[in-house]
Amino acid sequence: MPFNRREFLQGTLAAAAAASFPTIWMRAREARALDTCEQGINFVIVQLKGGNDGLNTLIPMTDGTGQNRTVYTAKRPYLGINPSDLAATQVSNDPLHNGQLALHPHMLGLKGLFDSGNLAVLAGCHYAQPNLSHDVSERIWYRADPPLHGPGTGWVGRVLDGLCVGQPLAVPAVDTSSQLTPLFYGNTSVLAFDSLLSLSFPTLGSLSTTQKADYKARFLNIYNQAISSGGYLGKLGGSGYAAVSKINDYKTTTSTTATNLNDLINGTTLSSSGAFGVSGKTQGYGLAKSLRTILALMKGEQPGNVPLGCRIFRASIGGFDTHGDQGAHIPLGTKSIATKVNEGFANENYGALMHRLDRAVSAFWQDLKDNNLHGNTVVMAFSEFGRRIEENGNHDADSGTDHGSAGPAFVIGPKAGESTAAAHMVGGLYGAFPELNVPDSNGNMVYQLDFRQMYGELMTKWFGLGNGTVSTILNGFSYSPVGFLV
Amino acid sequence: MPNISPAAWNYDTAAHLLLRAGFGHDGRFRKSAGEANQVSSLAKKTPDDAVAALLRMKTSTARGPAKLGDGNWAKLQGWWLDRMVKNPKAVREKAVLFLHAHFATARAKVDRPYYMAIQNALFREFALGDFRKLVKRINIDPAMLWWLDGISNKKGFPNENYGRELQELFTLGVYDFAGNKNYSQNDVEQAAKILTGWRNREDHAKLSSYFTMSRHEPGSKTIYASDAAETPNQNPTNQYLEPANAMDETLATTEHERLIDAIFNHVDTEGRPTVARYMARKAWKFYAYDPVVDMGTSRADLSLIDDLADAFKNSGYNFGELLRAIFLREEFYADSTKTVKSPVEYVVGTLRMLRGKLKGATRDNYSAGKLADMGQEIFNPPDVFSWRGNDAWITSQTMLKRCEFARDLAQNDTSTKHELGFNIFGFIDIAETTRAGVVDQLLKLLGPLPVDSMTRDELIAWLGTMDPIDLTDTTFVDKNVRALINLILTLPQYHVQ
Repeated sequence: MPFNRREFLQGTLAAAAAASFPTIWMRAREARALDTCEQGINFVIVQLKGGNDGLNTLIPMTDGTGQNRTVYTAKRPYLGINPSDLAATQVSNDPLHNGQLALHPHMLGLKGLFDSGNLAVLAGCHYAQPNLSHDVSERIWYRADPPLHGPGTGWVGRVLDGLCVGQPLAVPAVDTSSQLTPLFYGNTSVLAFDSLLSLSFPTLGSLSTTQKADYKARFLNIYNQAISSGGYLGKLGGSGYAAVSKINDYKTTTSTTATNLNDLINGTTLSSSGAFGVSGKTQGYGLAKSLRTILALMKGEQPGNVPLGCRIFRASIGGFDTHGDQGAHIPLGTKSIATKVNEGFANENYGALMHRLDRAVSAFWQDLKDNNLHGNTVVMAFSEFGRRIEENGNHDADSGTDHGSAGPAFVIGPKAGESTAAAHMVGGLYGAFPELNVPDSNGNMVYQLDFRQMYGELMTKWFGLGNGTVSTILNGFSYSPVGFLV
Repeated sequence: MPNISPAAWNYDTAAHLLLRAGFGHDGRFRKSAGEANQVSSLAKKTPDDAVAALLRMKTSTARGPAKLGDGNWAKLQGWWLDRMVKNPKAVREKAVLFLHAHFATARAKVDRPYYMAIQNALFREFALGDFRKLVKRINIDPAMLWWLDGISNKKGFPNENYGRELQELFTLGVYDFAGNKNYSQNDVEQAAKILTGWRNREDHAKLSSYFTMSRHEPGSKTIYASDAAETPNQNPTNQYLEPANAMDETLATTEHERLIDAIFNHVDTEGRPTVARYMARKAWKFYAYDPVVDMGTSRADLSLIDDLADAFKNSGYNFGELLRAIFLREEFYADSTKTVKSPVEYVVGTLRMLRGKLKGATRDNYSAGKLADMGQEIFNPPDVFSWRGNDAWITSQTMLKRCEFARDLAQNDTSTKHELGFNIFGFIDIAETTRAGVVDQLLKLLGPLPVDSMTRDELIAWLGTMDPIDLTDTTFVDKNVRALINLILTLPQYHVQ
């Protein structure tokens, strides 16, 4: 549906009215009459790219009535982590065999969130007949469609299309990536950038202010016109229009000047607890920076700002395709986290990933709390697959793990009393630990919880979508409650 | 559908061919005619002759700058970017770009520019040549051995990384067009074993890979046998047995080449040559548009892709012949909005057609800086799946970064100290006195770009409210006309091809 110039002018006037209306931010947002799909709850997706070795993220400490620890020790003579190093990060017992389970020793932050009831660990989360290709398995997770016979759109894209029906100029999501992740493919425009600070609408330096405004208006007219063309021209129209009208206006609002934004994303003022500031090296980690950008955008919805109105965000952390050089765990009693950080986690590649993930996500949650934004925010973390039970190579520093199947997924959110939304988190362990002595024919773990159950719970409880809609988005898959959101 | 007929061949189709086969015309044109010379000259030929003229060239083994030190990526990236802009045979560099995107090896892991320079030269040597032979060379290419862990793939401890991607991404694809798996996990493991034993020499004097018999898995290997669980419909003729070569180092050294022969002999469950189909589809997607061929859809482009696959296979897997078949197809010329230009196509094409200048440190840093911001740093695809293209190119960031390139190029003159800019008086016809005349000339030289009347009206109105205009007025040209070119370079229609 094309957006005509009259509506554009109305939108501009409303934005101008909002900007000149000194009031609390909710009223400013109302004054601009944000699209309904741009209001309400926040949802943040964290993607672990490359296939996370879930068996070293959620680790069997004891056998219980099963054999998981025994098999783990036998299959992972080099990469395995000793039970004594797991005591500080122990979580719940496995429901199948009552064996003790622990998070990776570097996941001290997430362990805290588990204890406080804000973290759900979804063990053995994947799908039947696992595909060992990164690309195919990613597509399956993106589309929520293991047979890949449904539409080529992403499940989040379909959620957005449902929420934003009849609102062609809504831009309800941000992907902190320079290339749009297929998770968001659909008909709704999504902002995508990995460097918000560097974005602006460039015009010839020699033009006068009036000419620049005229130039920008013509650019927007042309792009608005293209939206109705369909195909790539239509997508270009929507994306270019959103970029120039939304980001540019957002960034040129007085309280989000470049200096302020830079301070929000790179500085120390955002986090009262200084949670990101473990050391200078932590700040440079891509995931931490992406999450700070997301926080800045959430926080940017303040009086006098042109609100971006985005509610769904994605950040990612790469490096999980650990075929080799995965690195053994060095016990924290031997070497402290601070020392490891200073040494750049030499020879401990997987440990470094776990540390970065843990620090970035737990600090993000702390920052949400410090800014009173945690009551309506849920974070989900996933990877396209886990890795092989048995480590490869000669059980030495070269060893790694090949492509696998099931692994843990994570959801963090506000518990009862914290939540300002309609649902709240019930932290704990869900799913079940796959039986390591009964692998599939490729030596991989058999899934215990269909990942679409997690999606279904998020859509039903967090987005408040009806069962019929959820079933459509999941290509007919029937969701039944898991229990982490009620 | 047949090949394009001589009757349908004209300036527009010739321009389309130059844009898609290469990066657009070279920017030389006669102002009086308002037509690019390269385009007009191709338009005068028959389609067969035009395509033949583009593809006719000697083999090139040109390699990036000598003595590349560790971390000297800017020098290598600047060298290749410059070559794409300036080399008259843009067809070859475009094919090198296709092969680079296809084999997707990235500096992110291969932190050795000299290895990547060797791989880039290999692509150039085989750009229009024997694709099967190229894959054999890629098996043991130093950068690839590093990128997909071939160097740690050894006897007793196979590393599956390259063995999998070789089949999944470089030759067969996970599924055939009928939706059946082309290979099983066992085939990945067998391939990994066949490929054991190769490592790299780090000595700068003789950078190359080498084979060590003691690291090679000596037993026999069987690939593409029917696997009840994964590939129940595997064509029986696909099965290949590599006998144990424990005693014969010569035989063991060439095992990886016989693996490639087995892969190229693979026939899918519809009885079609799997590699030829996979590559025809991938090349058509790169050069034309994403074809619809899979079971469960309309399969509208199936016969087209099969024609191309046949041409490719019958030529002995000559990539130049696949390109000839693609460039001659009628469908190749059917639509100019079905693919989004990649950042490299956008930047290189614009520099060529405007005869723009990108030089010095700005040029050398452009790939890791501005092109990366647009989503495509050369020598650094995001992962082994390479750049996703089309939808993935279109984001708020990439759109604004393309606007930035257009602005930087449009506002600067080459006569000044600027390292990015163009000579506007070498480009516009100062005798033109109407706004529409200027707009139409630019739309033709930078395309031809088919724009709707509303968009054309906006462009015309940008130049003022009435004719005549005076293009000898340098202030008017430097502000309004340069801004007009800026605006054209950011049109939605300019981002597609």
